[in-house]
Amino acid sequence: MASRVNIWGACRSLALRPRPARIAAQSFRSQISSTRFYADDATNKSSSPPSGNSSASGSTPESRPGNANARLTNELAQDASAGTVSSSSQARPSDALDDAALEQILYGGRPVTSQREGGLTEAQEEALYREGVIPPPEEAEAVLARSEAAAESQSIVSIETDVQKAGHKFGLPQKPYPEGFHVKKRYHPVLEQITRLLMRHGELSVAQRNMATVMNYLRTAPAPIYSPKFPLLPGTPPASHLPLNPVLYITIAIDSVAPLLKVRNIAGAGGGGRALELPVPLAVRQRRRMAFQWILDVINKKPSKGSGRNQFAHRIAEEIIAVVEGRSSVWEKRKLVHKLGTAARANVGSNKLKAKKKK
Amino acid sequence: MATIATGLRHAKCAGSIAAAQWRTAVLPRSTFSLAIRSITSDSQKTTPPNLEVEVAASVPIPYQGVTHARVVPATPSYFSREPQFNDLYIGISKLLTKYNHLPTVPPSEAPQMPWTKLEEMRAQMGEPIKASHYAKVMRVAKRLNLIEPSLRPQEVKVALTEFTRDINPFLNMPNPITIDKFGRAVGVGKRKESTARAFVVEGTGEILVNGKTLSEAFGRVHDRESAVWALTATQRLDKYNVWALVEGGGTTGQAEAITLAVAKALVAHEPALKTALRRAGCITRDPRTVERKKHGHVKARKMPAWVKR
Amino acid sequence: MASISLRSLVRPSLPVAPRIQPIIIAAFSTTSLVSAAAPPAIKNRKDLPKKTKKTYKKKQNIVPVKKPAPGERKAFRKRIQLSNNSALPVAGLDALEAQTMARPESSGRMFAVPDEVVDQLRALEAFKSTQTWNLFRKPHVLVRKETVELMGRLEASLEKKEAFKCVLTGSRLSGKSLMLLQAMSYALLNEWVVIHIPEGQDLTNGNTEYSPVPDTEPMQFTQPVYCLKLLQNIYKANRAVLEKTPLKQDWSRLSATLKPGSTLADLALSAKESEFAWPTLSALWTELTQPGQPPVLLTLDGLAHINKVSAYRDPAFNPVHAHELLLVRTFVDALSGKTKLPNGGAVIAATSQNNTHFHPSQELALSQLEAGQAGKPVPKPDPYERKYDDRVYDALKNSTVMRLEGVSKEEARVLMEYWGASGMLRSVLDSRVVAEKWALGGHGIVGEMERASLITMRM
Repeated sequence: MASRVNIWGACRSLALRPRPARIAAQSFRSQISSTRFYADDATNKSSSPPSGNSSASGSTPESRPGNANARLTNELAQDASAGTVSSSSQARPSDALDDAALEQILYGGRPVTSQREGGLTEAQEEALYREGVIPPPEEAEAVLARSEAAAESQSIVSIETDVQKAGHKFGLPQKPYPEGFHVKKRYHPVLEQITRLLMRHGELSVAQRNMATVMNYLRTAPAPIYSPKFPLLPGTPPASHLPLNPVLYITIAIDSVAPLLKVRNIAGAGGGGRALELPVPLAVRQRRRMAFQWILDVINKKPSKGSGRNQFAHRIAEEIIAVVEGRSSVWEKRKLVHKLGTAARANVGSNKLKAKKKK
Repeated sequence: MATIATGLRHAKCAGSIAAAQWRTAVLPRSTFSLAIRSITSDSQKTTPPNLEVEVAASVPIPYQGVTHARVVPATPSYFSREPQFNDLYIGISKLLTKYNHLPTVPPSEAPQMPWTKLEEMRAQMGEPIKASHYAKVMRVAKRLNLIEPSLRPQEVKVALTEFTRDINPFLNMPNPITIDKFGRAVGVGKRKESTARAFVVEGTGEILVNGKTLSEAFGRVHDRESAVWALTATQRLDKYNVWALVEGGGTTGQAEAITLAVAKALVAHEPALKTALRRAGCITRDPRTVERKKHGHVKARKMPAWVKR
Repeated sequence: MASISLRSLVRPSLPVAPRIQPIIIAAFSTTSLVSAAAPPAIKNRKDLPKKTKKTYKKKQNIVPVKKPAPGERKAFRKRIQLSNNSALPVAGLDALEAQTMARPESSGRMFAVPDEVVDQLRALEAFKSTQTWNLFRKPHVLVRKETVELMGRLEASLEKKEAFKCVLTGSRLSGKSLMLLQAMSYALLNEWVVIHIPEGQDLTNGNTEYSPVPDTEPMQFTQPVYCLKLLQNIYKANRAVLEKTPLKQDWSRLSATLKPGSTLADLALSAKESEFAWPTLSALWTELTQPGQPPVLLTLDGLAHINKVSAYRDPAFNPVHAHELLLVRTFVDALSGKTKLPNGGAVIAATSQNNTHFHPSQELALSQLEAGQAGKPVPKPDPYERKYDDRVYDALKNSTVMRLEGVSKEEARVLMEYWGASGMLRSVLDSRVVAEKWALGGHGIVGEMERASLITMRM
């Protein structure tokens, strides 16, 4: 497995995972979630397609009648799922994915907001911060419950021993310990990563102050207006939910513009001294890093509007709003990278690569 | 002992014995040592009775009973790179095969031993012991140490002393923090250049650092949070009062020194909190400090700019 | 030789025979020498050709941006935003009424500031950009124990017909300016005339124009531009009261429009230019100190700045003490009790801890007053200190000192519940969290609690 970098499988699994949240139809969701690859066997879904594929998409009771776009994407998803089913028996899954489906995966084209009225559940938010995608609420709950059960099974022994000898006066802290329990990990992991990226000359406290200012700016700014041209992460809550939850705001902005892949140049493998361009999937942290670096590049070129020490923070906040509203030039960069990756996908299973590995 | 035997053999010079070296090393010891003593004055009294036998025997039949033409070393390790160390290894592995069947305890319950470090062992034996060899030997020694202490044979105990230092640092325990008659527990914490003492007493959640409130003592909110993290994490900020004295270093160092001090004092009040506090990162002393400046460098690592000439 | 030179000077009157002109090869220009533009005349150093530093850096393509107009950046920085539409509206909180803050039962509760009062306070520049008004839907204030006490004193001053003179002091971010704001809103709700000097520093740091008053010894100064602005602010904030109050004296010498029947509002409006600002302001002040007029609240923030030697100089280039500035003197006279307020009212000055300098005699005077009020031994002046200023002592000696420190845990809880209801605190709010923020905020210093819970990455 290690010898062959199989990006398309990974990419598809990344993008296909949240698809059900958009459609919000129970029957269709179960059907889609079955289109899974070896990359996400952790969820223990059966890979066989359920029967009645064709009837599901048109006749789902909750699918909005006027939304042609949704219909279209449903069909595309069907294409993709059909393709993958056949590909599982064939050698290369990348062959099975037609360009339209790929276009869908890489550039989106679906309505962004989730149809749920109440925004994201806690479990969904948790999954977003950890994996960079918004799963449907049931799935997120299941994952959360599983991890909690594991944590509790660990803690049972210690609780029993605690009962025997009380070495405390006011009760012990509840297990499992909450997020941010450790003195060195007290901030939200997404914020922590971004703060370190903001930091200049090792001045962490300045970076933290800037980050706090960014969050307060987002809280006081009016709710963003989503652009249909630049869809955000599938399953994004309605815009009115974002300002009061700045962590979610920032995460949505960054995860939405984050590239799914990067193109690695393998020196000399292209033949004739040329480099072979090979698309490689990125992990969540890598994607966030790349997206935020792009945002920082834009910010550094912008002039500041006012004066005082909050200007840098204000520019960051404005750029984040611009990303969510689809006004930012960062979207172009993402498109460019994805285009390059699409063009280079022929090189994924290249013979030259194998020859090079053997040597 | 083996070395003495070899030395004797060399003195005798013709001591070629047909038997295996292991036995020869031990068995003929008494006789040879007698022979050595014969040089001294008192041995001269003993020589006359032997003399006749010797004379009778020494009617020379050359090389009778001699199977080796040259001196045979006392131990098979003689030609190895680290003979003494090798002997130790052979001895200890024999013990292991002998007592392999004895019941063992899990490593956490085995008695703590101040094992000799590699450097010390090299210095003791004067041999260039390889680290990998040392590790091999220590593995066997630690396995022997797992034998249930009550059933451990004397032989093993003696053998293991060869691998331990004379001083046992594990007996050097810090004094436990006690709670005085006013209900105070004093903890000491350090970080970077800072040292803090925290007097923790049950109360209503008032914190004073060098006589100032938290907001006056630390301008940065992050530092204030750090200072009381032990109390916040265990949800006891409204249950205790803290009077902290801190000196040296900068703000971060002072705040995190207070963290450690408060945590230690809190554990004195409530020992059951130690696990939680360890998970909160308040028990461990952060050992990172400023790296020293080196000569030839501008700072710790920075090199002067390259000049052509 | 001489003939040649002479001939060259004489204008040729006779036509000279055509000659063969020498062909100048050096000139490649096709235009004539005359039509070439003359190099710019060098008149001074600035016109000399500048030496340009040669750079080998690649030029980044910098897009020319429209530079903001002068003052725009500062206005952006100093702008005051009093509402946040993203924040949740907090239901169930009463609005302030005339006597609300003076009642003991309203202690430890949050109240909304009514909209018209908000406008008046904004006109008075009572809100500061450093306060966190911009996080919440509407301005709300917490009525503290000290607030009730102060408002009780204000109420009592009406009955006694005598000014309540007070200095607010306390540690940094403890809510002194906010207490001033509460006093102002109390006064506005009770139809007092409110005069507020938002920054003592603006008067003495030499940034506003000043002009000497003739025939004064030592020379006194007015600050016409500042006075005009202050007058306009007073008019904007107190318009309703001023329009109801007729003039007691004849001020027709100031302006022809002032007839005997006109009101204080006409007086305030009569100054259209800065030259007439100070006479009008002093006339207004004289009117307000007449018996039968509405009570006055005179407030100032940043006391230390008006007790020092100002940055102004007199014509002999001697430094001017701040008390020689007439506006400051008016305030100081009111604070020291030299000017009586026969209708009741109050003079309140607040110290500042952020924007201040160490002022030995002010510190001494305040600590002595405080000790005297508490019945403790009065601190002695430091015999080795040379910078004591008797004028400061005289200015402060008749005032009450009110020290503000942290709020109690109950008050902190009410405040944090308001934050939570506005959606600004996302965590669960219980007594442990309140105790945590109370301790992190230095035993309940309100501003520090805000920093620890609202302006942070952990929310």
